[in-house]
Order: sequence, then C-alpha cells, then structure tokens
Amino acid sequence: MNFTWSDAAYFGPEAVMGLTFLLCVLGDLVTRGRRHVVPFGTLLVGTAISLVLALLHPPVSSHAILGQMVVVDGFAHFFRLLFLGITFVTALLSWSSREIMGRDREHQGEFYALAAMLCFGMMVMAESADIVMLALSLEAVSITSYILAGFARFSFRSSEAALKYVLWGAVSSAVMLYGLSLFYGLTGATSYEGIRAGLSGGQGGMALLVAILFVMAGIGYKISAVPFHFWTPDVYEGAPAPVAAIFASGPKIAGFALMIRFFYVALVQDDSQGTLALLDDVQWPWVLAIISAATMTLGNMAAIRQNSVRRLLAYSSIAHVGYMLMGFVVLSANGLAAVLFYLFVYAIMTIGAFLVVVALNNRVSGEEIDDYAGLGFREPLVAAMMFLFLISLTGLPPTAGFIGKFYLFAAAGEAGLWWLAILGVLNSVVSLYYYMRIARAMYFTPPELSGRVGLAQAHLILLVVLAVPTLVLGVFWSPLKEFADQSLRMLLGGG
Amino acid sequence: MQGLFFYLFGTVAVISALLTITRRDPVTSAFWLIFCFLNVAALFATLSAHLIAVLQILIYAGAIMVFFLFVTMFLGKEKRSAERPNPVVFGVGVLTVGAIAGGLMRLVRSGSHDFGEVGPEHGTIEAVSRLLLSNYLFAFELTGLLLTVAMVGAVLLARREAKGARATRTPAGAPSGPAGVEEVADA
Repeated sequence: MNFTWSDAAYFGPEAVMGLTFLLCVLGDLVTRGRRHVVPFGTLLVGTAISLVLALLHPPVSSHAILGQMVVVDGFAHFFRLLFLGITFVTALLSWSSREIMGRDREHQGEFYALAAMLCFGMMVMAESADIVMLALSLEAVSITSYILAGFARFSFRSSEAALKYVLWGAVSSAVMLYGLSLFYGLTGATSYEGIRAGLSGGQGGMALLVAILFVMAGIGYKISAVPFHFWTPDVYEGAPAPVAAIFASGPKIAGFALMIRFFYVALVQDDSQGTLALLDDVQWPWVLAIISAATMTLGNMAAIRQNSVRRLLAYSSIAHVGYMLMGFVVLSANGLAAVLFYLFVYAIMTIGAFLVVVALNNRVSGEEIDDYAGLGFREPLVAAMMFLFLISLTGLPPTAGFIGKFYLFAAAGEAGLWWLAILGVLNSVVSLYYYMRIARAMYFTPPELSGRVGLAQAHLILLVVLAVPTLVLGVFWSPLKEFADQSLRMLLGGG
Repeated sequence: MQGLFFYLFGTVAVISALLTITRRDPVTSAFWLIFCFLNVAALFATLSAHLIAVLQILIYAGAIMVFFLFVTMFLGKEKRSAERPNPVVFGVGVLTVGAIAGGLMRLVRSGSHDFGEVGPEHGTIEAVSRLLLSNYLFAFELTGLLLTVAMVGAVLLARREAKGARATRTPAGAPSGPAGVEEVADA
C-alpha cells in the first residue's frame, strides 16, 4: 500500500522518541537502584539523537508519509525542535528536583518514560494531517499528562489535580470527537485536505458551525483557553513543580500546533490574490477573537488575586494563551509567524519561571509570594533571573517577550483588529502589577532568614542557559523570526 | 421491512437513553444504558455492519458497562443516588441538543450528504483488518503505544506502596484500604 520504508527517513526523530519511551520502560524494569540513572540517561540520549537527526535532515518540502496520516514539513520541523528542547531541559530540571527524585519518592524511572512518550505524542500532534491522527495524538498526550499530574500519588493535591484533569479531559475529548465525526459526516473524508475539498462546495451551515465549535472545545481545553481553563490552576498547583513546568510549555504549544494545522489546512484556502481566505460558510475568527479577549482578560484579572506563585503563573499562562490566540485570529502569514515566534519565546520564559519555583521548592517549603521575601539578598543570581523572566512575561524591552508581543499586536492591528490589540496592551499593563508583586517581595522585603538558600548546581546552570536566549532574542531576534516565517512557508504556500 | 426495524430499534434506543439520564439510581441507569447499546447494535446489524454490531456489544455493552457497574458497586450504596440537575445546566443542555438535532435534520433534508453505495465486503473483518494494517498502520501502532503508556500509568498510580517506603508519612495504625485508594493527605 502507500506505506514504504522511505517514509522512515522523514520520521526518524519521532521513531527515536517512540523507541526511547519503550527503552525507558524496559531499562527501568531490568535495572535496580534508587537513582534510576538508566531511564534518565536513555531519555537524554534518545532526545539528543532525535535532535541531531532532526537538525541533519530539515525537510525541504512537504512530505505526507505513513499512509498520508502525518505530514513532515517546515512547520512540523519547527515544533519538533521546540518539543525536543523542552523535553531535554525539563528532564534535566527534574533530575535535581526533590519532588520527583526525592528520597521518599517512588517510580522515578517511569517519570522519564512518560516524558519521552509525551514528547513523541506532541511531535505527532504537530504533524497530524488526518482527524484520526488528530484524535489519537491528542489522546496520547492527554493520557500521559493525566499520569504525570497524579505522579506524586501520596500527595492529596496531586491526586486531586489528576482527577480534575481526567474529568475535564474526558468531557472535552468526547465533545471534540463528536465534532470530528460531524466533519466526517459532512465531507466523507478524514484527511484535512479531503475535508477542505468536501467543504469547498459551501454546504454545512449549522452542522459545520457546531462541528467547529466542538473541535475548538477539545483544543481549547488542551491550550487552556477560556471557558475551558478551570483545570489549569489546580493542576499546576497540585502536580509536582517539574510537571507543571512541562504542562505550561509542552502540551499547550502542541495544542497550538495542532490547531493551526487543522484550521489552516482544512478550513482556509488561498484565494486568487494569493492571500488566505475562509471557506464559504466557515466562521471562526469572530468566535476566536472573543475567546482570545476573554482568555487574556480573565487570566490577568484572576492572576491579580493570587498569593501562590504557582497559581499566579498558571493564570498568567492562561493570559498568554489569550495573547497568542490573537495572532491566530488574523488570517495572515504574519499573524501565524507571530504566534510561532511567541510560542518559542513563551516556552523559554515559562520554563524559566517554573524552574525558579522548582529550585526553591527543594529548600523552601512554601510557595506563597511572601516566601520569596528577600530572595534578592539571599540568592542574587536566582532573583535576577526570575526578574528577567518576569519582565519578559510582562513584555517589556529589552527581552524576547517584548518582541514577541510586539509582533502579535502588530499583526492584529494590521488586520484591522485594533480593539483586540489595544485590549492586549491594556492587559499587559495589568500583568505588570502582579508580576512586580513577586519582584517586590524578592527585592524590597527583608528576608526572614539570612544566608544562602543553597540551590542545586544544575538548576543554577539551567537558569542561566534559559536566561541567555530570553535576553539575546530581545535584541537580536531576526534569526528566530526568519525561522518562523520559513517554517510556515510550506504550510501556507503549497497548501 | 427494514424501515420498520429501523423505527422500532431507533425508538427503543432513544427511550432507553432518556431513561438512562433520568433515573436517580446509577445501577438502574447503567442497565438502561446497556439496553440502549443493544438497540444501537441492532441498528448497525440492520445496516449490514455486522462487525460494528458485534464490537458494540462486546466492547460497550460488555466491557465498558461491566466496568461502570464495578465502579458503582465498589463505591458503595449510600452515595449512589444522584442529585436533581441544576435547572440552568439542564436548560442549556436541552438547547444544545435541540440546536444539534435541528442542524442535523436540515443537513439530512438538504440531501447534500452523498456517500457512495458500498459493496457487500465493506465493513467485514477482512476489509477492516486490511485497512488497519495498511493505511492505518501508524494509527494502529500509536494505539499500541497509547495502551502501553496507559498500562504504565495504571501500575504507577494503583500499585500498593512499597513496605516502609514512607513509614514516616503514613499515620500509625491507619487502616490500609484497597490498592489505589490509600491516599495519605500531604501534611
């Protein structure tokens, strides 16, 4: 059939990650020892090999492989590198985390196996070209996430987080599957291209709107957009901090990748002028513009009231989803490039901020903002890095967050969505207030204890590694912008 | 003749689905749901989709319902009856169902859904397995990985704690429940 060995050349990085998952499980079973060095090493080596394979063979054109189920193109390549990077960094930060590797913890080996599976699922999500793969890859990432959320199973909060995550996830998966079945019923096709061909006749009406709304519900849950965000703060707070760092970056970004590919391949076409246009009957930008506005406003308003740093970061991550949806609403290459740029930057600064939480969590028991009092005097380096990530999250120069937000707001303004861009700027001003509450605690509140906190060496090194691109991309951003533009070319140009 | 069976099984399926969501006792609901599944399976059978009909009975009426009943029984009888639904939620639900039903009706009436006629070998075990191992091979393999990770998760979350692993955290003399429910609140 249309399943050949030559496909393997394009699917190398994914295949390696899938294999890494199995090897991590096996490696943990055949070796004994408390530190679980084998699965950890397997994950690092597997991720590195996968990264090298991906970098050696960047796709030069769009390849539909494995029975047309997945497409490897520049877009997939962009996200592939991002997910591998996220997996590598979060694996390293988990290794020194008390919450995962502490003496009283169990199942450390499985953690790395699950991280490998998560990475594999996310890569497939970004490549899916068929609603069968869409549902399966989303489910692969979701199920792995449920297990990770409940990883600290003796902790009541972790179990509660996992339960909430499962319940929300099951409902939204069911709703999305119903929406996908409507797409199949309307067009008789499961591939994105087939759906576009089937819909271009211009029939569908009410059923099509319901189908789009239902699919949005499924994806909206994954990226935690309002009104599907309720699980986010509880899960980020209840799950172990390294897991929260993964959730805030990986699956959320994968949800965006999946959404962009699905909506732009299945529901948008090039019109005669070479710009993008919606298929007849398809109306989602207005729905999404409202979701975007609601998401960023609600995320920011809720973040103001939080005293727990983790809940604050959770709500701030919801607000960032709102900003990024802004670029998705705009039907243009610029809007999408802005989203890709921001996703990259967002991953770095969010993992950075969560890394500070992870590092402090090893030593300090509380996670309230007050527990960060005087950090600027006790751990000047960590406090400075945290401050950098916070101003980047706010979107102030000279950080990468500023450039990312600039592109997003500019794309919205360019498309005539001025009200959305202005709302975005206003929201950024609001976010300055609550981010600076953490900064104020770190620098202007005297510490209760004196002396260094004593953080893991690995965490300090990782913090610096993440801080460098946050700063560098703030002044020298054009390579990343070009990479984002180039990644989109195959998706939007050739269809 | 086929029309008669369609309306017979269809009506019974809808009525038993309504009974499923209106009964207060979960066990009663579960049995109505099984009955609903059986009728849907009969509908599949009248469409000559025998494989799907059999799978519907084996997987839904069989495995999944047994699991439902097991969990319901396991949780005990006291807390079994459900509360009355919130009228707002109920109203929203009715409206949503109405909108979807209306949309589907219009779509069916418009006649724009043209699925071609299928041959007698369509949907047989041979045809489905050929598809699974050719076009959908990757999806099939991914499902395998999905089941593996679910199994890892089940073992991880449900296994009893290792003896003495965290003796300091477990209160002395605490009754140890069945595997999977012996959660200890984090102090």
